[in-house]
Amino acid sequence: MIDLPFAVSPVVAGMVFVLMFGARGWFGDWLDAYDIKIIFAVPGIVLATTFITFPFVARELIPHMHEQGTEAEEAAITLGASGWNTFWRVTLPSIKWSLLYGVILCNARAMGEFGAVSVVSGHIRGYTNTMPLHIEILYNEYQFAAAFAVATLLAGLAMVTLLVKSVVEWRTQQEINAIHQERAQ
Amino acid sequence: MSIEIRGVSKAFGSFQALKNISLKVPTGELVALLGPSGCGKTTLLHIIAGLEWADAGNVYFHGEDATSSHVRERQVGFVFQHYALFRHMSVFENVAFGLRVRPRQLRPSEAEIRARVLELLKLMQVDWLADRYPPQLSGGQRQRVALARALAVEPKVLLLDEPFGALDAKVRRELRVWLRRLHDELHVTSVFVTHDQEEAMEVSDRVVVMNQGQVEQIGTPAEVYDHPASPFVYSFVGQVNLFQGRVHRGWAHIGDAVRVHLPEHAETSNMEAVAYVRPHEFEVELQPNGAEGGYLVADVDNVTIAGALLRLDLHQPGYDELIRVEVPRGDPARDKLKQGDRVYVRPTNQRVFIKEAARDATQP
Repeated sequence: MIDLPFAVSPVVAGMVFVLMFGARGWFGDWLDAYDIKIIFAVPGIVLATTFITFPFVARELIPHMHEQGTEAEEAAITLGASGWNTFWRVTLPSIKWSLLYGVILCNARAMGEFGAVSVVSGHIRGYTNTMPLHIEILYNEYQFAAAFAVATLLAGLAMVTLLVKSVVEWRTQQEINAIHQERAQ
Repeated sequence: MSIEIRGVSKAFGSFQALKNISLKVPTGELVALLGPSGCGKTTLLHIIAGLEWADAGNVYFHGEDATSSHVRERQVGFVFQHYALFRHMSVFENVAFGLRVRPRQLRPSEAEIRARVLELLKLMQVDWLADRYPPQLSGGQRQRVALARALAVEPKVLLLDEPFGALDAKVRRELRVWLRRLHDELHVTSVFVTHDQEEAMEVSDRVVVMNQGQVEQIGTPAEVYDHPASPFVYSFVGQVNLFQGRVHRGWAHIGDAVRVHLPEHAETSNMEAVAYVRPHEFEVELQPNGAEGGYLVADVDNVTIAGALLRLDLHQPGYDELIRVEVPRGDPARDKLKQGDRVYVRPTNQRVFIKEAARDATQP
């Protein structure tokens, strides 16, 4: 199930969100009654992007958490820590690098995400526009120079993300190696 | 605080890990759960701690039913085989953890926490490591820190899951002695799990021998060693020699010549049986003296000297099984025994189990 967003085309994911939250969607009337806008607004873009990108974090975190086991958490609980305290003081610090790694991958994907966002955002310029969408608009309007300028900017951001990713990846690997070493002793 | 377990059962899928276990741990005792891997001892410890739930049965702390209370409320100190230290915290912070996570009104002041942690680290002889991080410590040091962390919250019960399992032999022996001494000082009711019978014998007040999810015997180390309740305990605790034989009308026949009177089996006729004899429960003669017979003829395979003991590996002509015998040194003729010599051995003490009962006896 976690891989569903990988398998489904982002456009389809976008359509599903429209089906659910659109003006004539399942929750459309209810949302309208409370005057909440999701489709063709920022919440829709966030929702679609989250759906598309969350497997990146899950894929990264699940093996790492398996690797670490549950002993540290069990130890924390026997020492009287609450669930919240255990998560905040024990689990989170031990997965922080994996989490960060996942978030960076997410970010990379989110910046470039086109399909789902294209469907839900409605291309309202200066309001619900993302960089890839903006590139498309400029390109369709034959503003090549502007389109390429934005594209270069996006590519640059991607490079920066890649660089940060490498650093974090290295730290994550170190963390995992440390666990292995400890086991071996 | 005493612990009592009544009728605890636990299954993982179709595997029955614990079958109707009942046992009592009196206040202040140090009890070992001893058994081969997979016998359910760790599961039982987890159930006492509240880290695992029993399918049936109850756990009582000091006479109060604690079966449904949460781990947090049980006030147990748990020491894990792989230490389970918090790797991103210093040794000091690890030990302070249990005090820091207390609700605000129960939390000691920073100065009190500091004093308590340093006192514990000193007791564990690791006070000089307070600022280090777990990955920088040796196994023995880590386990001491883990113990300090468990004791920081003043648990009513201390539970240790194979605490020395991951350490090398020398450190393990040191820590064993040290744990015993610590327990004599603190008198906190403790249960520890081990598969090492030597460890269980040396450290604990009482031993609970477990096999295949059941308790085989509960007793002091001496009771368990000298009066094993079942073939399993016989072969798991200490070394033992097995002799195939028959039981008929109150007598056990072992080999051709040895007969043992068994009044409790007077009604048994011609049943296969196994006799268990400890290595030190033999008389070794160089000559077949006396007319009474009752000895086994054997040849010497190997002689080793172990301090004050002479260890003989023997075998009966025509049999493959080795007979391990230990006799004190000092007899001039016997001390000269060498490979190939013939000896005459007589068991001085033995337990005979009828085959049906002996069937599930397994060698450790």
